[in-house]
Amino acid sequence: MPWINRMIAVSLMVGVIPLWRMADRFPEMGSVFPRVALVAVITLAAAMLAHSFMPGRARRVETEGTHDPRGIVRPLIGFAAGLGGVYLMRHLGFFPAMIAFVAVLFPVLGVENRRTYLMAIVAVLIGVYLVFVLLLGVPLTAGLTE
Amino acid sequence: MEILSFVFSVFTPMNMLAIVAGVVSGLVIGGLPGLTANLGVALLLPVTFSMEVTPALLMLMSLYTAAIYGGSFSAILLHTPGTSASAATALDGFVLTRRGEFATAIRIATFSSVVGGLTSGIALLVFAPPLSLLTLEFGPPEYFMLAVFALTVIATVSTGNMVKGLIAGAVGLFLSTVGMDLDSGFPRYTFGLFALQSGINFVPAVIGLFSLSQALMMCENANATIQGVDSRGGGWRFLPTREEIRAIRATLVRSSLIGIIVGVLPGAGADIGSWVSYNEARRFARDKSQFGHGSIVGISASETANNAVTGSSLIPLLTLGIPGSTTAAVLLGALIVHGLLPGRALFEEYASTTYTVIAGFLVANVVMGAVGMTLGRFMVHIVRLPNAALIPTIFILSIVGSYSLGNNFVDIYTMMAFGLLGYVMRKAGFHPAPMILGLILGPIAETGFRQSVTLADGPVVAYILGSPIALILAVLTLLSVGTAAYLETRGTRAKRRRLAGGTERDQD
Repeated sequence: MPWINRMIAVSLMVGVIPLWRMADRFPEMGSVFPRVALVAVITLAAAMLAHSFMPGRARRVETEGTHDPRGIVRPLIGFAAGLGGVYLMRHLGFFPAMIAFVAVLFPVLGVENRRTYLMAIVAVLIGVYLVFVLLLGVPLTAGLTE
Repeated sequence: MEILSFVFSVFTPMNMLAIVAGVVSGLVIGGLPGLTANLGVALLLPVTFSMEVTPALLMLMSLYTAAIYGGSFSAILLHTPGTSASAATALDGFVLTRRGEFATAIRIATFSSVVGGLTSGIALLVFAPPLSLLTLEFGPPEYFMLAVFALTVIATVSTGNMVKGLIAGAVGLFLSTVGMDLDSGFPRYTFGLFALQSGINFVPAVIGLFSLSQALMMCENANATIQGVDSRGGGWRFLPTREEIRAIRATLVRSSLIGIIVGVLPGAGADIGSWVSYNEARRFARDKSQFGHGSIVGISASETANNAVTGSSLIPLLTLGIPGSTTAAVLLGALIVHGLLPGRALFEEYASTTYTVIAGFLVANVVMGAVGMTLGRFMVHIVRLPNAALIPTIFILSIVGSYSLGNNFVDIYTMMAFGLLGYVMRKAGFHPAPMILGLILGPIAETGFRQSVTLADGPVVAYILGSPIALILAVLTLLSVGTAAYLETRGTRAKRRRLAGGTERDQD
């Protein structure tokens, strides 16, 4: 854990530099508030870096979820599938894109009884159609279904 | 006696139907991430065009209060605040859900929301004219200090890991500066992207940081259920137990007052009210360690205040025509559409309509509690579903909720980006809540500060602290930061002592 904190602290401190420079071009008053926030970020990142070398603080376990680094693979693939689904929304339309997204997501999640789950998702999509399209008039992308 | 006749006129079939329709719509809209109370009021406004003025306003106001309450359901059950006003509720509510105590969380949230709504309704009925005078005293220095005071909530929310919380808050403040500078029109940190010119919309950011990050966390263990253990107690109660009421009674009073005061202030909505109230509840609590770990006082503080804002935000609206929140601004449009202009005439010429609507607002809060607890009994089955069924559902609702805000893909990509950021933050031990606070409060603080600089004839600090209200807020800010720092230091010392004790035992 301490090395992650150190990496984040250093990244934040380095990341502040170009943002600070960009503020040079802002009108005088327009640069004050972003710079106050950036000073706060760099100061606090320095404090976090210092804390990561203190034995008592560095030992704290602060993360959520699994501690196994392999555990983050599934969420990242799920996220990529979600992004793919959003991309397909433009071309296929909202409902076909979401079905395609779910069809990719279920194997990633290790779902065995896919038919039952797919039916549940279709029910959710029908609910979305009733509430968002029919009741609230949200113009969800039509795509192929147009 | 005349007031009583207005109260009785609420109970006509048409008025009651309007209240129930508003409450049910509000619960659905509030419970769906991305659909805000003002969106709901705006969507339902055209429906009321053909209605008589009293039921029309009753329906819209019932929807407003129910939407704020409805956000607590998804916050408690899925760690997905339906509205940004319920983000503080998610902190403790979801912990209780994971422990199998969601019935308690929903019961406390419902009871507190009803109490908050009722007290603000009474305040609206009794104190509308005198309280509205306070809003006239709020200028740039007061708004700046109010935002600074609200920012100290970050320190409280992050106790136990204050530095990381403050970093998240500072990054949120920085992100709030993205977009066109309102004074000069100069684009700040837009990187040439037109979509960023209007800044980062915080609603998709809230959906991403809370909802999508939760779905990604659930992906790690797709076969598990949200509820970690079997339900405790099992029995579903409509009202809190005596012990629960004893535990939250002081919070109910304090948070109602906070909500009423915050609601009266234009621009400070239910989200700020709930965070300030949560902060104060924690400051006053004897056992502060429970906050963030399933405290019913935390849930009560957040839910009482956000519903207390709903009624009081109508005080400046009805008396001065100044909306206390975005939703109140939409309601102002509704008043005008129905031929009513805010001001003295509302309480004299149109007294029967005004007082009937205010009395109806009180009734709507009771109906909201009854309908909410009835629906809640069935909604809790959600937490027994395996993650694999909920993950795509949260994904789909987050996408459609973000899209529905402005019918554009920018909000979806904002939500997705903040979702991934939220997941990474949670994996690295950062809580997303401070970032949201920074995003919400940043523009209020910056505007207040810049206007103060322009108005100050001399040192700006002296100008700001020259205002008695700003001075009181500054003292409260120092007290809040001091308390949080003291708690952080004490917690660190206790941990060190435990570690030292453990080492000694190991040596033995």
